Amino acid sequence: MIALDQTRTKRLVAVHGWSGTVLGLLLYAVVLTGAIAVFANEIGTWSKGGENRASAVEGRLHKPLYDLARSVDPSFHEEIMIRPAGDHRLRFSFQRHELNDETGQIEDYAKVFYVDGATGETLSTETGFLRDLGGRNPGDALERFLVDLHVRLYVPQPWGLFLTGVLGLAMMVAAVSGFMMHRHLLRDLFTAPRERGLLSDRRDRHVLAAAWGLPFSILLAFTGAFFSFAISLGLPIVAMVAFGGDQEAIIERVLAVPQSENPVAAPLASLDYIVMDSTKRTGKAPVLITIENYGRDDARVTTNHGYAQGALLPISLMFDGHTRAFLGEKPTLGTTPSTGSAAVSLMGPLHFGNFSGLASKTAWFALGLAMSFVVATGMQLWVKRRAEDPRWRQFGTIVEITVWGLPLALLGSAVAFFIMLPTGNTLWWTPFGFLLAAGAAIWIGLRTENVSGTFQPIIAALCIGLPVLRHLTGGTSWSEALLEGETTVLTIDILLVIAGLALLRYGTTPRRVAPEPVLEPAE
Amino acid sequence: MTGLLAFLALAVSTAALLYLRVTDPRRRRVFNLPPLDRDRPLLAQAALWLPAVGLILLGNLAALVIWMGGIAVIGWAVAAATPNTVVVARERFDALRVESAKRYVSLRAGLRLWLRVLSTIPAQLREEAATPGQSDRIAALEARIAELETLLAGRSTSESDAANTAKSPPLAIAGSRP
Repeated sequence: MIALDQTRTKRLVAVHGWSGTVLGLLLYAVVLTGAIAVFANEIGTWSKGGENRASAVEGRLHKPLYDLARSVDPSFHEEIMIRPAGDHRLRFSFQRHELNDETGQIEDYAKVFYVDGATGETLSTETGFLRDLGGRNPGDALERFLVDLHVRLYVPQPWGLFLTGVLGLAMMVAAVSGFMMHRHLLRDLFTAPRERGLLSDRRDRHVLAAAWGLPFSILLAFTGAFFSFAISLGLPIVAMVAFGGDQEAIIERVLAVPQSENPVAAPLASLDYIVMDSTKRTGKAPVLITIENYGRDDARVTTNHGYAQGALLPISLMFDGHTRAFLGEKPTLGTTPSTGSAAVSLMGPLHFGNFSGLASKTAWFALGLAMSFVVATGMQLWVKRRAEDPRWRQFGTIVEITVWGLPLALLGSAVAFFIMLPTGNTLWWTPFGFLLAAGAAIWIGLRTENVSGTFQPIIAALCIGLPVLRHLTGGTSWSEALLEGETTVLTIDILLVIAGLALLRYGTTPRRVAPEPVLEPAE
Repeated sequence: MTGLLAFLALAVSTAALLYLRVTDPRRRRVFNLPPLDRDRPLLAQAALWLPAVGLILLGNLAALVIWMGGIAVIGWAVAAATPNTVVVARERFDALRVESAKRYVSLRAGLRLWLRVLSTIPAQLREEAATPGQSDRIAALEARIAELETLLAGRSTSESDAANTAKSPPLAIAGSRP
């Protein structure tokens, strides 16, 4: 598509190859776990044996809010967030800003109450800095581990976010350089590899997958790098420069709509009425409610309604907390709707693929797998081209072990989770199970000639065995799941079994190599 | 609704992709396939992109983005299938079809036989109803046949005994004079 001279093409090949190879193993891990993390909510529901995850805030809210607000210090009325917490529970989080001695930053310190949505009874409470709360439920360990592995490769903050940000940039560089290198991108869009076992076939396989997924590779890499750097780098830098290091202040200035302060005491208007009003306006119940300055005349209620049917931007509405008057739609950034706010709002749906339920998630999952294939085949091609060098051959073994070992290690973390779930000790054992399985994968991989042929049956066996293990360790049986309408549990079990059987059936089938055309003597 | 719209759009575009794959001149050259006489790339490309235009006109941006993502994956899968893969798939499908046809034929033949047998029963019942005592008559005839067979068997035994007696000399009895 872009005509370049030989020298420039060689440079681009070097940039493309080295950027992909040096960070390729980590990039593969981020991309594959990202594909799986698209279904993190569903995996969380499945791992807990089904949990009625309400998608919206339900039930009467005003009375429990009133009772809980009276039970906490008024300093915690600064910000209150209400969201569904699964199994018909509601999560009331009363927050104030405090200095965290560990990090040296001003952060949200919260008192969190889990309330029965039907009866209003308080089921459990927890207190602490918001960043430390929320992940202590043993049943959430698998879901959180998968997400953390993708977001920061389980490296402590902020270095994990730096790392994934750099990987996102590397992927963009590889995608753009690949686009520039390929002269006949459109013409070769339907040219499949010829399966003759040659090096050029490997190249064709990589190029074909990369060409079709090019726009989304750039999109997902860009949005991923944005999220990583915005939180780990952009926010602290701007806070240091303009807000004296106070990150909470910059968040409030940029994300909140400014209002005139009026600390005069005034009761909050009926929250149930506000929720009803917002539901009528948007056609959807809210998924998150935020109340600022509860108990004051300048109280404000913001209702977040997720995505409307067919839309890509989430909807948030603002109400006056005292008079319940509708104040308008709240933009993501700034005070009025703007292109910048819309662009930032688009980052989330375009990266997570959660804007249209199962349909969008399925598409994003498939795209993630396709991108994993691109990264893996790229590394394999790079190594194959240098097969004469023993060091590159060793690296090739490491590539094969990583490509097949990572799915095995992820399944290993799920096995550890289910085994330890009855004891409640999953928060430590889930990542440790991943490490154990990864270690086993490395040990097996270094002792076998055919890495893929050895790993595929093991992965297939784990896929088929996981639903059985889940059931044996006290998980919901299929009959119970059917009775309770827990389709997520059934679906994931069935998909795992199908994946395992397909891997057993087709994974070990040798690739049928097309016969070369026989040259006939000219007559 | 969004998912359904995206699915329909992807179905139409997939059909166009399949056509474009089969008619792609570079692919046909690479795999030593003969060039096609008839080729309508513009029509196929229109069929590929029209669903996206439709989604834009409907204002469903979510379905449009799902369509874009789906096309990337489906396009890759369609393009990655080599003619060899297609041949293997077609062979397997044909084998399955032949096997199913055989089973269908034998099933049909079996069903036909049963139907024929079943269809004669009402006729027999009608015959019996039309000629009363028919079965008694048949039973009487069968009994007569059995009687005659017994008689015949008895006659043939006595005839063979007489023939045997004529051939063999009389038995010498102790104490008797010839």
